[in-house]
Amino acid sequence: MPQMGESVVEGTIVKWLVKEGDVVTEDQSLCEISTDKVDTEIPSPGAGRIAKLVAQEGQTLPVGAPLAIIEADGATAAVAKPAIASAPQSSPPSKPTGAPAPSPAAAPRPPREIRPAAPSAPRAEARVPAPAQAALDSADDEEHRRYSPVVLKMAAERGIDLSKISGTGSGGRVSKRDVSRYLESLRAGGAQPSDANGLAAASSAPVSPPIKPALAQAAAAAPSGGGFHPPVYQPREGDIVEPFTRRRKLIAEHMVFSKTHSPHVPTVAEVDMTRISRLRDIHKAAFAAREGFALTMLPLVAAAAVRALKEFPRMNASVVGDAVVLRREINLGIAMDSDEGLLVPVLKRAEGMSVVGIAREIAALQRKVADKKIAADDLAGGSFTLSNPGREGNLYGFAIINQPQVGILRMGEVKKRPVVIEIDGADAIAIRIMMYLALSYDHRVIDGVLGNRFLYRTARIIEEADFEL
Amino acid sequence: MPQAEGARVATETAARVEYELQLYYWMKLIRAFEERVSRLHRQNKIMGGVYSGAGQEAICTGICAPLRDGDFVAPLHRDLGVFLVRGCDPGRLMAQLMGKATGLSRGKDSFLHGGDMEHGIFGSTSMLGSSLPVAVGAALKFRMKRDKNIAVAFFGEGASSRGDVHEAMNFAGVHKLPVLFVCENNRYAYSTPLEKQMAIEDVADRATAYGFKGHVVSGNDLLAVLEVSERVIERVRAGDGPAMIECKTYRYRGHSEHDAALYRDQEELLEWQTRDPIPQYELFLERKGHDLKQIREQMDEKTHRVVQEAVDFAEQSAPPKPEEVLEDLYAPNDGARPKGK
Amino acid sequence: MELTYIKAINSALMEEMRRDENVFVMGEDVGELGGAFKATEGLLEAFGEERVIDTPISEALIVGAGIGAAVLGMRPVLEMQFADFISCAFDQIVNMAATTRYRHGGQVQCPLVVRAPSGAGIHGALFHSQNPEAWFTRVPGLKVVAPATVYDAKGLLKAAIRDNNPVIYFEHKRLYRSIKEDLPDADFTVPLGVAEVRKPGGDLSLITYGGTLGQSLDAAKIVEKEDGLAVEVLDLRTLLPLDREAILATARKTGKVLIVHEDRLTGGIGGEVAALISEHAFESLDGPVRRLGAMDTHVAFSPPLEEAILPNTNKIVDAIRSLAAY
Repeated sequence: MPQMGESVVEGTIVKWLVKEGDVVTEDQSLCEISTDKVDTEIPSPGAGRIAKLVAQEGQTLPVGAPLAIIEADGATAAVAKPAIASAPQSSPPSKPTGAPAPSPAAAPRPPREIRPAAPSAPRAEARVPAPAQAALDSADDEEHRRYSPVVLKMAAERGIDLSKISGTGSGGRVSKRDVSRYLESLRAGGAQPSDANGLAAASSAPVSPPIKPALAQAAAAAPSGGGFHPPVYQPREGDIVEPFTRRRKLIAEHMVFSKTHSPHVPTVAEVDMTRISRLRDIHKAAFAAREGFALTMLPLVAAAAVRALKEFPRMNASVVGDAVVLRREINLGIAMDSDEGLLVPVLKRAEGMSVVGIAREIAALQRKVADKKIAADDLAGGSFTLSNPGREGNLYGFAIINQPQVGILRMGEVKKRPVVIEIDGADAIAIRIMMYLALSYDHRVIDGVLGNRFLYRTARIIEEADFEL
Repeated sequence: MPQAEGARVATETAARVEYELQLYYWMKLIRAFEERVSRLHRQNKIMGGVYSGAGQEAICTGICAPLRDGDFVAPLHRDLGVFLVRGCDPGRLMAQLMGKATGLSRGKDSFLHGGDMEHGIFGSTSMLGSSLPVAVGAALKFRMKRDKNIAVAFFGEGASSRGDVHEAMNFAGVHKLPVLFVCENNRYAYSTPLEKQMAIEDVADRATAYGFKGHVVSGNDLLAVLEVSERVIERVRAGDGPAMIECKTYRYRGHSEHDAALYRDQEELLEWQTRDPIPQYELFLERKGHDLKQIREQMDEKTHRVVQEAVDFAEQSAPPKPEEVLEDLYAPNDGARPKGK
Repeated sequence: MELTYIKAINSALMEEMRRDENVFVMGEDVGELGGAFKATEGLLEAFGEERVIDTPISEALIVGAGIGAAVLGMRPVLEMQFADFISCAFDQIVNMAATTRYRHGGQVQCPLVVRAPSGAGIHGALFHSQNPEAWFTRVPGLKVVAPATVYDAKGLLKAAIRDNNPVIYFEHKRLYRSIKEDLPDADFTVPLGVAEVRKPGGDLSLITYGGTLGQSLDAAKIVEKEDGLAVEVLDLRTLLPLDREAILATARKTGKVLIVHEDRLTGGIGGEVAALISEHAFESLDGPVRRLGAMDTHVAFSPPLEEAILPNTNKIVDAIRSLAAY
């Protein structure tokens, strides 16, 4: 079927002028057709015998459809369609409905698109104008890690360290999708840090509850894709729903982040607290009278940790991107419990403090926490953390590293235990005051030997009990 | 036209006398207005391109005098007189030239491009000849709506070389539209003399090519122009089809105020100046019995006053504000009818 | 009622001429022949010679006379037989029609429509294949539209006729008889200056108009099925004034934008859209704004050349994939 006009897509056979078996010459009229634009006759493309009339009178066919088969000199399958109509003229219809023209059963449906024979050809032309365009693209795309505007914006808004995200874009580029997926993964099981110390500055004022109820949020945060999902909660009368406070949310996200980003290695040492306990006993009354607060084990252990950190500066460090930053100052965070949950106020520049100074500072921070007067500045800038959750149910335990630090010490229960000691070269059993001191360290940057040595040294400093009170 | 002296005064109606003086007023006003414009331009109070029609006053006056309200006129750059004859406010016209907000374009375009559609005057663009198809369209509208109006398109012999002119005339001829084509042949398109513009002498000959009649007339003779225009306009209005009137004339000044026209023969200019339309017409008025000295003085005083008032109005008018630059680009679609016809 | 794109145009003309006696049609072969493509078929019979005017071959006159009639209150619908010939009326369009209201200080309006069959892919060669819209989208005072669907062909033409400004209406001739839609019988218009999201999506925005809408939607379907990509397809519909809000909204939504048009790449309206996005939605971009248009050459006659020059579904698919992978 020829194309009788630029916009014509089909034609109708009005009348066949030949029949099967007829011998025809080139240019002889074969049939009359009718289109939207014009009625005309179709001349034969060559000489030969009409082997088959494919189309019938009255039939409407799309441009390019075969109408008849002419055998030329015994050869078969020269289809009577003019060369120009060998491919369809137009793309198929667009939205919203409608096949263009009824396609009669006999006529094969023309291919959708004008495709060149070699499949590689469209590839070459595919990105128009590919060669010229590629030449204009900048050559140093692979050199640095570059982030698109939207990715930078998302990172800034959420406090994300982009170096933590692996990119699926070309050349390992971090795309918006990568960031979205990363955030999604945090919501589903990781922590989201929002400031350098890992804990957002909490105001001393009571934190207002979030706007959305927790249940709605849980429903909304259903992760996309497959994998494990906790069973959906069915509300039951009597259940108490406590929506996360902002603080709780931050803690939760921090904890998840820490666990997914730092490979925690837990290691524990046994500490003989006998000597240091005695030291404390001797001085505690005078201390209390002088200072106005009781002397606990905490400042002593803290002082020991500070000394050990001086000897092992790599433990007093932060992971920043692809680097470890060995901090000059020892800002020791002391984990404390509060009404709002875990808080870690920081002893700033503890390397310059005596044990008494440490004790005073800890007491002051504890007062602030109790009075709900702790400020963002008190919580920021820590380089190492010491946790003392108390004796009950705490023989020993491994705390979660406070990001972006590389280790965290945790004191266990102080308790009398029978231990084997050596007296004059002979083994004996004695009753000593013991404590398990646990260290979690980040095996990205702290290898086993270092971490263990630090812990060992801390334990020995405590045991030596060489402190001025 | 000329009758026995003395007899005429008695038989003339008062209306006719008034009309004849009106014609004189218009020519004097056009002359005075344009002279002042030329001066203001040299005083830097009017900027941009200024084109004088000095010497051609009889054409604007003679063609436009017989026109009616509602007729559509498309003048070109040398036809400032059309505005005054058709009733455009001289103050607004002067403000237009000075680019003030009270001008017809409100400061948007220069010189005569703002038209005055309240008086049926369509502003031209600088593409000479492009207004002829527009005038033909106006005539088409009059035909379709059975209005008794006509369209008049002015153009110089220079503009007649452009394709738009021929497309317009051809179409008008085919459809016998009520449009009058007025060619002001002043023999020069800027510096290009007639013989370099066309192989013929009379532009009016082209009318025959498009199926209508072209009349040649001495453009400096107001009475001659009037005689032809009154007759031809009546036929066009009656539905006889288009017509062309070619007015032979000469421009006194250069193409624009910046052109000294040194390409022309000084003798040629002097010769044409002896055929100045205003003294010619004054002769006619004198023969009709008017006291020439008196009416000349009266007219000078009147035109001077009108021009001065126009200048005062324009100078006191504020320029447009920068915030207006995007105004009038698009017509609103709230159903409000535009002003003008 | 199911209509083809060209029948929708015809229907719009019929209805508007019935609705408003000031609407009339003028152009070459529009009356007796009913138009080279039959767009004006039946109008002469219905409305007579005075309102359906066959002109000589005079594009400048067609538009110029339209302007003259329009400033006096008529609403002419002028036809350029092929958009390629619009160049012969260029001065009347950009210097006369587009400036009339402006230089007359708002005293008049010029409510006319210039219909121009544009578009390639039909072996039209150099002078029956052009997409000249970009010559006009930079002219203040004009409006330019390019319907891509049957519904819009009718609705936009009606709206253009009712608009009090000069509107250039580019109808894509390849779509004339190749797409059909069921249209409501009741009167409807499509507003000028409003783009339409034809297919929502979150991964990548494809902005297009006219002849490439169909191919774009096909490409979007392919990548959805094979790559799981959700492409949002925005049909500009009006090219002057551009619907800036819609353009920026889709860019901000996905961060990746591919602009596709059948017009040539360089100087096509894609450049303007891209500049708009990079200027006002930069912070949302996750990749460079890319364009796909015809190659910077003339639309050749011979099929292998024409295919190489024009955009098609395959090329659009490749461009989507490339940008999505960035």
